[in-house]
Amino acid sequence: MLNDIQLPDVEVSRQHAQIEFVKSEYWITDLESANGTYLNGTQVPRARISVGDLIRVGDTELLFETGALQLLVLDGPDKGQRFAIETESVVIGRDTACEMRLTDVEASRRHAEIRCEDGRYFLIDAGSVNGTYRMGQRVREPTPLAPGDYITVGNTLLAFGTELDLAQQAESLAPRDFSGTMEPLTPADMVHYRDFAEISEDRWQKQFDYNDRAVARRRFRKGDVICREGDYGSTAFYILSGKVQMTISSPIRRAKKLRAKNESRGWFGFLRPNTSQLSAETDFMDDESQAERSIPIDAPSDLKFGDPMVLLDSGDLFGEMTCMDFYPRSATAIALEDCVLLEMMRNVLELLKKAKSFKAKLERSYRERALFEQLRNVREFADLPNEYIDQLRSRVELRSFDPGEVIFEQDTVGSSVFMVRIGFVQVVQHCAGGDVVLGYVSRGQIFGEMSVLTGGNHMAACRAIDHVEVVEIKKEDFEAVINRLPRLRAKLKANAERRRESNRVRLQMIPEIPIEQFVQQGLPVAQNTLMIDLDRCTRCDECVHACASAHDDGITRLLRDGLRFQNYLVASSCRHCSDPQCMIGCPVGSIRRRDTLEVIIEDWCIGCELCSKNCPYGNIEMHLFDVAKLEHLYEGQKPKIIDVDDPKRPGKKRAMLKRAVTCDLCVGLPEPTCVYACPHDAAMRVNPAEFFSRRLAVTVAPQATSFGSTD
Amino acid sequence: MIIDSGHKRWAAVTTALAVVAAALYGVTVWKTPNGPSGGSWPGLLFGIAGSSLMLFAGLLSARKQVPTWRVGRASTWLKGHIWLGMLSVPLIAFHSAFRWGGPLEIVLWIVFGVIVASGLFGLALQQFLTRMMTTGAPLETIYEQIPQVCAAMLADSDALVAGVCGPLEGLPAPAAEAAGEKKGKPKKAEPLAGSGPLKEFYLHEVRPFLSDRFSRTHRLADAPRVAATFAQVRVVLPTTLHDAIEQLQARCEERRQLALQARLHHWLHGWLFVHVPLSVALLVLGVAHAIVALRY
Repeated sequence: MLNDIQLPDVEVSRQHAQIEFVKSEYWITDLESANGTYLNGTQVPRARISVGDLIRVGDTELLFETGALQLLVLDGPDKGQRFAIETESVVIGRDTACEMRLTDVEASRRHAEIRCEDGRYFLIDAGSVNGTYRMGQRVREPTPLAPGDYITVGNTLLAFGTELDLAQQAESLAPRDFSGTMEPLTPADMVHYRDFAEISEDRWQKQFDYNDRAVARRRFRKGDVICREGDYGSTAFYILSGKVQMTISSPIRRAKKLRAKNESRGWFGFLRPNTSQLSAETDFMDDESQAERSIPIDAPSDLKFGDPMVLLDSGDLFGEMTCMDFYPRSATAIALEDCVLLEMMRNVLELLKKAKSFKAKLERSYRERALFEQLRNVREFADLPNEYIDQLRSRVELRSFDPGEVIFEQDTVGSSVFMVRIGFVQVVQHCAGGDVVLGYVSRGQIFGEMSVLTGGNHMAACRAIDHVEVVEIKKEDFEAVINRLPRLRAKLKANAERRRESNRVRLQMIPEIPIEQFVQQGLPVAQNTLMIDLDRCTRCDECVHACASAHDDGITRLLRDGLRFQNYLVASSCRHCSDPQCMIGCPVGSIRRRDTLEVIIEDWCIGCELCSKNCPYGNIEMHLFDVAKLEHLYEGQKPKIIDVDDPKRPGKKRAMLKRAVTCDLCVGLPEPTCVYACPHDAAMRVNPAEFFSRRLAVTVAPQATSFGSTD
Repeated sequence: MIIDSGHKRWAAVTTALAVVAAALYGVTVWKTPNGPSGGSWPGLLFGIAGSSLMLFAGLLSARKQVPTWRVGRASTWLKGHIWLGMLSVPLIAFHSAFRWGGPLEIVLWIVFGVIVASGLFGLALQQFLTRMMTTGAPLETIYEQIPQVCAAMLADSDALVAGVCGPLEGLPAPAAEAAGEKKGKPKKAEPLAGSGPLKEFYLHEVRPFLSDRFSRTHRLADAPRVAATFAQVRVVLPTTLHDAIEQLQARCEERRQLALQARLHHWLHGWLFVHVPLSVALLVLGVAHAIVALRY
C-alpha cells in the first residue's frame, strides 16, 4: 500500500499511522509503528483529532488542518464553480437569495441545504422537485456529509470537501466516459484468477490466438461511467472488485392519459383536449401495469419500476446480451467506488460459460438474486404465495439454446414451462399457408404453459432468436404448485383457453386471403391498421393534424402515405403486427404487447432506436423531447441528452431527449382521434385480414388488384 | 364527401323540415293580407332559424381547429354542414319573402348565393375527383412534398444519364454536382457507345418535362404519347441503354401523375378559397343586417 504522506524520517515506520474520516469525525490510528504515534504529546493507539491538534510521528511533528470546506461543481451548466462553506447554512438553488446559486434549469429555486450542526455537516433536501442525491441515493431526511461526497442537484454534480478532496474528485471525474484504464491480459494472467481456475492456460491461449486483446482489465474510479444505456457495444463486464450501480436514467414518467376511462371529465369534460401528457405521477396505471413490475436489464438483477437502480458486486457479470448478440446496453453502469473489472469479448465469455464452476457460480448468483423476483413478476404467478415461488425456485433448471435452436416443436407433448432469462424466443405456428409468428417472448416472460395446463400438445413451436437462456420448470413441479391452488389453476387455464381461441381465430383468417401481394405487403400480420379509402379521401390531412393535436409533443404518429391496396391506402402508422419484429432486442423490454395485442412502448424507453430499425414498415419514430419542459420528471437523474440546434436561438443548442413513439390507438377512447376527425368517413382502423377477406375473395380477381407504392 | 346511402337520414330530415317550413310559409302568406315580410314574427322566426343554420354551418371550421374535442365526429359535422346549410336556403328565402330588399340585402343575397353555389360545386367535385386521383395517380405523394419529390427525381435522372452518357454540360451548379461533375474531380464514368442521342433526348425533352415548370402541352405529358416516344427511342438506341431509358420513362410517368395529382388537388380544394372567406363575410354582413333591420 502506498502512503498518502511520505516522510523522509528514519524514525517513522513504513506504514506508521492512518488518519480517517468516520461519521463526520477525524480519527488517527497507529498502525503498530515501532516508535508510536503521539497526539498533543500523548501516545495514542487510536484517537479523535481536531483542527489544531499536534501529531508527532518519529521525529516529525504535524499540525492537523482540514482546510476550508468547499463545494465544487464537477458537472453541469456551472461546471468549475466553487463555493466556500463559511456559514452554518448554505442553500443551493436557482434563486438569487441562495448562497450557492446555480443556473441549472433542473434545479429548484431552493433545492437543497447544507447545514452545520455540532461540527457535522448535513445535507437536507429543501423540497426540491427533482430531489437531492448524495452518492446516488436520494436524500429524504438530513443526511450526514463527509468530505469527498458527491451531491446531485438537478443536472449538476457537486463535490463536497476540502481543497485536497476536491482536487482528487475532479481528477477522478476527469476521465468520465469509458476512461477506465485498460490493461490487456495474457493467458498467464487469466489463470491467476480464482474464478476462472478451471480453465487451463492452453485453453486461454487458444482464445488469445484468435484475438490477443479479447479481454482486458479495466480500472474505474469512483463515479466513472462504465457504459451508458442505449450505446452499442460488443463486450461484457465481470466485476473483480468494487461496487457498480446500474440504473436507467430514463425519466420514470408515465404517459398519463387524461382520457383514461375512469377519470371523471365533469360537465365541461368534452372541452378538455383528449391528449396524453407526460407525468411523473404513478397514480395512473394502465390496466395491465403492476406496481411491482420490474424492468429487465442485461445484468444479474432486474430494476424495480419505482426505484430503477441495482447494485452489483464483485463476482457479478453484466452485458451478456450486448456481448453475445450486440444488443444496445440496457442500463448505465457507474462505479460506486474504485472498481476493477474484466471487459471481455464474446469468445472469452463463451469460454467462461463453458467452464462448469464459473457457470455454476453465475447460476447460483442468479438463483439467489434475480430468480425469485423474476418468478414473482410473472403475471401468471401474481397470485402465487411466496413459499410456492420459493419452492419453484429451488427446483428449476437453467438451460441454454443457440440462435435458431428449437426449444420445443409444435404438436409435441408439453413437459415443461419455460421462463426467459436472457434473449428472445419466437413463438411460431405452422399452418397450411406457411409459418405464422404468434409473438416473441423476452426476459421474464413465460411460455409453454398452455399445453401443460390444458394437457394437450404444444399448439406452436418455440425457437431461440438469439442466444437464449431459459428457466425450465418441470411439468410435475408446476402442477404440484398450482394443483394446491385451484383458483389459480382455473385462472391460468382460462387465460390459456382465451389465448388459444384468439390465435385460432386469427389463423383462420389467413387462408381466406390467397393474394400474394397482400402477403407481400405484410398485411396478414397486421392486426390493426389505419386504412384510408382513397375514393372518399379529399387529401385534406385532417387525420394527420388530429393525430398531432392528440399528442402533447405536437408530432403526428401517422403519415398519409404508404402502400396501397386497391383503393385503400395503408397509412404509415403502427399496424400492431402479429409478428412484432420491433420487439426483438429491446434491451429494457419497454416495447411490449398488451393483452389486446396492441404494441405499446412503455415509459422507460432508453432511446436506443432498435425497435425503430427493426420495424419493417418504418412505423416507429424516434422523437426528440425538450428536456427543459420535462425537468420535473427526472427526479435528479442524468438522462442521455442530445444537443440539437435551437431554431429559435440561432447558434444555441437545446438539450433534447430521444424516445421511441408509435401509435397507441388513442387507448381509452372509443375511437382513435384520426378516425374521429376524418370529415369524409375515409379513415378507418381495421384488421386488414378481416377487412379484406370478404372483399378480395369475392369481388376482386387477383390479376385486377391495384398494387403499388407511393414511396 | 361522397354522397351515399349514409346521407339518407339527413336528406329525409332536411326535406321534411323544408316541407314543414314551406307549409308554414304558405300559411303565413294565406293569413297575411299584405303578404309576408322579414320584419313580421313569422319572418323573423324564419330569419333566426336560417341564420342559426348558417352559423352552425360556419362552426365547421371552428370544429376542425379542435380535432381532439369529443363534440361529435367530424363527418357528422360535415353532413350537418351540407344538409342544414342547404336547408338555410329556403328558410332565408321565406324570411325575405322572395324579395331582394335593400342594397345590403342584395349583397347578402349575392354572397349567400355564391357560398351555396361554391359549396355545391365543391361537393360535386368530391364525388368524382377523389376517385380520379386514386386511379389516375397511383404514384401520388403528399401534396406538399411534390416539389421535393420532383427535385429528387430530377437529380436522380441527371445522375443516371450522366452515368451512361458522360457529363451533362450546361446544367446549373447543383444539378451538375448531382450529375457527378464535382469541382476538381474528373468524371469517372465514360459515355457508353451510342449514348449521344439519349443525352440529347434527355436534355431537350425529358429534363424540361421533369423540371418545376410542368407543361401540359409537352408531348411527354400525355400517357399514350410517352409510351410511343420512348418506344421510338428504344428502337434507335443500343440495348445497353434500355435500362436507363426505362427508368427515365418511369420517372416521366411519375412526374405526369404528380402533375395530375397537383391539378386535381387544386380543384378539390381551390373552391374553398371562395367558400370560406365569403362565409365569414356572410356572417358579418348577417349581423349588420340584423342590427340595421331591428334598429331602423
